[in-house]
Amino acid sequence: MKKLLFSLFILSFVACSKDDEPTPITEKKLELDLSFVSGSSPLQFDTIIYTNAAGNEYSVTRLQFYISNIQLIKSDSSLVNISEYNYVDARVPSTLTQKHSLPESGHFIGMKLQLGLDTAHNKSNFLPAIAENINMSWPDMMGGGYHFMKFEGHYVDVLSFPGFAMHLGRNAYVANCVISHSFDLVNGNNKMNLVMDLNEWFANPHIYDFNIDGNSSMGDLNDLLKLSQNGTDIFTLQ
Amino acid sequence: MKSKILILIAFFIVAIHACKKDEEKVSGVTTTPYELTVPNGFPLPIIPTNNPLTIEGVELGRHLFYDPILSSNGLSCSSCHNSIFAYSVPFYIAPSGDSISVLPIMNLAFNSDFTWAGFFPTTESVCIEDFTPPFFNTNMDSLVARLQASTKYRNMFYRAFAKNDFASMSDFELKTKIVSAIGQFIRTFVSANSKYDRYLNHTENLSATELNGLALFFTEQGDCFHCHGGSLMTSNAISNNGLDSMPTGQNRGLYNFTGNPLDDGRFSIPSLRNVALTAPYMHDGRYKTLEEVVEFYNSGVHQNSPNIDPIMTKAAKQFGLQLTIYEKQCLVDFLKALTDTGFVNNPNYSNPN
Repeated sequence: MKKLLFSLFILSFVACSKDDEPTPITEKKLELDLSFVSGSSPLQFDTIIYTNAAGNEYSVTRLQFYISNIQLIKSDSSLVNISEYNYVDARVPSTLTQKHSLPESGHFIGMKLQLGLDTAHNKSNFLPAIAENINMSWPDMMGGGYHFMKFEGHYVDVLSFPGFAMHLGRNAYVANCVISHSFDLVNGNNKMNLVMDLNEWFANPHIYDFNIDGNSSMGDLNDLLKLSQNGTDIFTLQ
Repeated sequence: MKSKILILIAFFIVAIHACKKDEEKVSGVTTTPYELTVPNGFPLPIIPTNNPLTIEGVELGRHLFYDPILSSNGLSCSSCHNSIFAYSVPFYIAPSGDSISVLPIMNLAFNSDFTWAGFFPTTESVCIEDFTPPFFNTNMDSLVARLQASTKYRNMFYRAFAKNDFASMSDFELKTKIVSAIGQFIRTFVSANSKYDRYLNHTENLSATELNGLALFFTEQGDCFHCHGGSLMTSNAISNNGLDSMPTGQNRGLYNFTGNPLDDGRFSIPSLRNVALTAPYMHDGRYKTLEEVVEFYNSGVHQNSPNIDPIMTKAAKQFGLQLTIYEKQCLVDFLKALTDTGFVNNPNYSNPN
């Protein structure tokens, strides 16, 4: 009886202790740090300092988007998948650093990613019901799913400062981005900078002029097409 | 020998019990976690880590919410938060003479900013201001005496916070415990069963005009959804909707708290749930009816207002929404379908005294 009680006594303390530490192994990781520029100027919210290809002077008040299906391109053109989707709010620093497990290390010649969500994820109420996803909802009556991007601000129009709302969404208008850039990733921790040039949303291949194309895109399929095609080269790797 | 065995068994039981979650214990008393029901499609609640919901805390908060014991002027929280107005009241007149439309209490557990200006990060940080004039104008010595004389509150405070010697608490500690309990109680106010919700759940139909209103609400024609979409019917953002071309006084909103010109005219976007019960509208109650609100968005937005939300200045809105009389009525009808009578009549939120 005494031995049994003594065993239980010892067991009661052991039960509270932490599990044995796993043997450390070298994990391959890739940290992507997002940053934003407009041409050569870094993003500074709420100040009209940028000029796009159409000559519109503009400011930025909101920049929220999804990045999904990041793939690394190997020399033989095969792809290494490293992420499903991530939400980014340029005003929220915690969303600007994205850490991914890396299935393979080695030499790569580029990166593919989608600005937006693929069809498997772009369904109404499909993503977890967190505030960020809820606020990116794209109404069913306008196609459903989620905003791929909300890029808003103000621009100079003669003597006034109207707003613009470049909203991207709907399955046909995901921006398929390809970044040509050679780099090597090692076993262990890797870090790269993913830079979005906001001016590229308004050029290449289409000049987007607020005064001609309008200051909102959501309800205009032509505008959505222009943005999605312009969006293919918005990122560079550094 | 027998006593030693009993002591060892007791020690064993205590040791095992110590492995249980910490939040069930408050300095010697055991509290019971309150499981907040999160409606389908709602985000996870935002509960301060230093004030988790407990059944004991919620119950104490419920009694305090309705009890004028907290004030020196007969007011209680419920004086300005009446269930028939979805826990708001039509007007509060500030000492400055400004009229303020009192915000409803509902779904606050899912909110990230509080009051019209959106300056306060928690319900507790709002409530603790209510002890001062012009609200409760609480004499803390008198409050301590009243609480100490109350067997009910001595017991309830002990069950919730393991402390009921009010005289030994600093004013700050006592206020903090009170607003913690009230904060817990009002976080349980969940509204998610309006006619519109039942329509989404396929258990009730909307009328033809309500459906037309829904279509206006969730397309760019009315474009209400960018600020009032989602399950909460608010984006929880802080924004200028163009009420004034040059805001002054309380109409400057968040600017009055931060002094930042970029906050001029910006207010927390309120939820439209139960909006038919919360007239008058806007922070200052300038619009008495939903019809007036819709007309503001249809034709009255000041597009030159400082820091106006870009959504309010889309090209299609440059000359107003240009809704017809019928369309405006449809929008109003849809807004009325956001009323949740089960919420305002929920006995769990009623006066227990």
